[in-house]
Amino acid sequence: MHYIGIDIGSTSAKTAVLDENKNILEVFAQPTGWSSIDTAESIGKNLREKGFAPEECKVVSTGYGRVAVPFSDKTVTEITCHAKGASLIFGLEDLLVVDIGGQDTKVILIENGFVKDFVMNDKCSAGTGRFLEVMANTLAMRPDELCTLAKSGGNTSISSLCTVFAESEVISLIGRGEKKENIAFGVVDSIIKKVAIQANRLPAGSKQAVLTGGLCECDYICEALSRELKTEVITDKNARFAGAIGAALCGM
Amino acid sequence: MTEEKRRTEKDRNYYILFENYTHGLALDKILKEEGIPARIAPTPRSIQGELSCGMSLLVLEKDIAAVRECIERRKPKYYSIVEMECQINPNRNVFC
Amino acid sequence: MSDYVKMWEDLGMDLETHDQLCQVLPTAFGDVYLSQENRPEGMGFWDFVVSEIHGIRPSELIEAQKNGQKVFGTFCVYVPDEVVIAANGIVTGLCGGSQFWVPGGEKVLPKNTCPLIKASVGARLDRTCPFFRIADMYVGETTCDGKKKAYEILAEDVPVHVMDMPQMKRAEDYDKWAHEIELFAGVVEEQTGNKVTPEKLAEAIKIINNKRKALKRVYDARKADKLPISGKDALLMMQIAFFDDPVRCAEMCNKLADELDQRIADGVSVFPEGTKRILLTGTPLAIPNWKLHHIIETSGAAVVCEEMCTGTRYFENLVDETQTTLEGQYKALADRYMKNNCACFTPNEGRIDDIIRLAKEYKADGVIDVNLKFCSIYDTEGFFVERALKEAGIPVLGIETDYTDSDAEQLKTRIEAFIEMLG
Repeated sequence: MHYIGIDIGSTSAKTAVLDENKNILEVFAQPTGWSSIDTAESIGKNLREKGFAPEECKVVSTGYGRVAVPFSDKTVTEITCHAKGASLIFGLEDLLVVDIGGQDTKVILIENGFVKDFVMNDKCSAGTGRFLEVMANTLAMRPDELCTLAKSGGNTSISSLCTVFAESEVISLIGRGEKKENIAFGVVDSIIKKVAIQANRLPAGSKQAVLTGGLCECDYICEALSRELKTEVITDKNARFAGAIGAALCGM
Repeated sequence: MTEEKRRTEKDRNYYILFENYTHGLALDKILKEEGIPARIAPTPRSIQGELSCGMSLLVLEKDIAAVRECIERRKPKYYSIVEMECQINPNRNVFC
Repeated sequence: MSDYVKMWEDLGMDLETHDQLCQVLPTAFGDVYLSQENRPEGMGFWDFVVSEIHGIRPSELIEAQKNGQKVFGTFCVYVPDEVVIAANGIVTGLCGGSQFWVPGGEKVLPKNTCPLIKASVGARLDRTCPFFRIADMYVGETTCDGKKKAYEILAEDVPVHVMDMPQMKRAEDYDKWAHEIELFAGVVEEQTGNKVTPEKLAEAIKIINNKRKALKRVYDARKADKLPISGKDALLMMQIAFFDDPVRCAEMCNKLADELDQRIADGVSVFPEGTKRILLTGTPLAIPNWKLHHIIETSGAAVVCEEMCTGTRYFENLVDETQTTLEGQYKALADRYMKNNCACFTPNEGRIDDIIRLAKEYKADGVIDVNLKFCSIYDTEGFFVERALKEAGIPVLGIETDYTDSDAEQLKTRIEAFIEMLG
């Protein structure tokens, strides 16, 4: 029996296939696009091509598009899924998960493998992947390029938390001739500070902090977050699939 | 999570309309006496027409035959019975 | 036949705009209320009231005014209805609970005012609610800064009397509130032309106590393991209690409570076994604000109690009925009303005790602390609420929201995750 987890986020849709021994057999991601229903269909096609027919597997969907997956057996929220997925990926029962997603950022405190508490950002894109995307766009870069470039910058801060205002702040920095790496630093710094404020609301104690979600492939994000949280933040190549992996686990 | 038992568009709903709520409450009382299920409901705008009465009686498809039979027998005052697709959708999340 | 359009016209209402609200109400009420299965029969009364919400009670009030009675509109559970009733006046709640009225309020109020105040001011100034048109006098109170200033704006359009609420609970504050009630009685006497006598006040105290007891009976039924009524239905009863005649309200609530008691005896529940039980605490949910209850109850949980003004704060504690002098009665009223624990008081530990007690009484699996956007006192007090609950081992979720629909999906994710967390 195979277990499929599908995490339809605002920006990208992640899929994971696990066997009954919780081995991760397959992970893949694709852009969500404008229609979660079309995305779900394309995921189904991909799965079939890879030899995992959804109707023969247990399918659990999560993420904001979770109700749009017609072949899903059940839906579970991304909070529970990220918690379960991160526990498996990092092999830890007690941890603090920081997930920077496309349009929301969650911090989840896990004790003995169960969600103990969580914080989500309000209806505002500050401190989310979307914020980064918009700023990268303004700087004519890809988000991952911006993160890498930020490492060599410094001494610039973006004070507006609102994405729209922050964008005009970035534009005026460009106009002032500020170095691109410094602007990139300011952008990442703004996200990290916002995320840290959220994380500090939960009493993590000595629990290992981990980063999941779309930004975890960028080393500098982990580094900056470690600095801000004053604790080592680790990540993993599968961490951006934490939600999908957790969803698959929810089917077991 | 538990999904709410959802009525679909295929279900038919019946609204009994009245000229005034006195008539409506009278029929509600009769149906209660006879043990026929019906609920007082705000009249959907799309079928209210020129009637100024805000209340109607909502009857499900399975009960409409019994309601009609009861009306036939006890001759309460009412304006009309309107059949329409079920428009009740608990997942719409549009409030007022 | 009742022709409400004529009545609304006579009230000077903006019919065209008001009609927009009348249009959406049946759909929203259908989605939220009529989608439920196996509701208590007794809810028929409240379904009826909603069907005729801007017609039936307003026409009763207008009829009463024609017979010389005065209508007092109130915004807060600290304003003592008893005094008004003793002078043969009528009380109606006036809190706005719909986004429909908010833009009207925003014409004159800062954006970062709570939606309840914005909706209330909007409903008056835009002339889109009959209750706001009918009231002869508004009775305000100094519970928060937003309201205090809003009353000044309203006072330019309608007679307003503001009661000065103490913000602490020392002995002198109780005395002060008794004195404020006495002053209010003077205002009511002047408005109505009727004397408040000890006999009439004693009778009024009994009427309102009976209403409190009846509301409490329905709430007590929600302590049962098998819930005989949904949180949504109980909320509707509570919201309409602010507008209805107190004697009829008590009668209807008692009737409903009888039915609920029978359901408990028969083991009838409106939720499947194992449904998680949620206590809501925080800012009031004025009619027709059903958003949170609906999201919670379509996410696999049930609301079992509201520690809110539209909830336990409205009916808990009775007024001493043994006093025979006005002085003793004003003091008894002050004692009862001062027992309410609103976040406008400092300190306000009593509310924390209430929440922990109610969570136990109603066997709540978790607590959702709701804050209407920009209500800084409840928002700040949330720090103590959440800390105390965590210390007591009761899971808690803090939520901030307003009257718009736009955060419904986000709230749903948060609330579903919280319910999943409860196991």
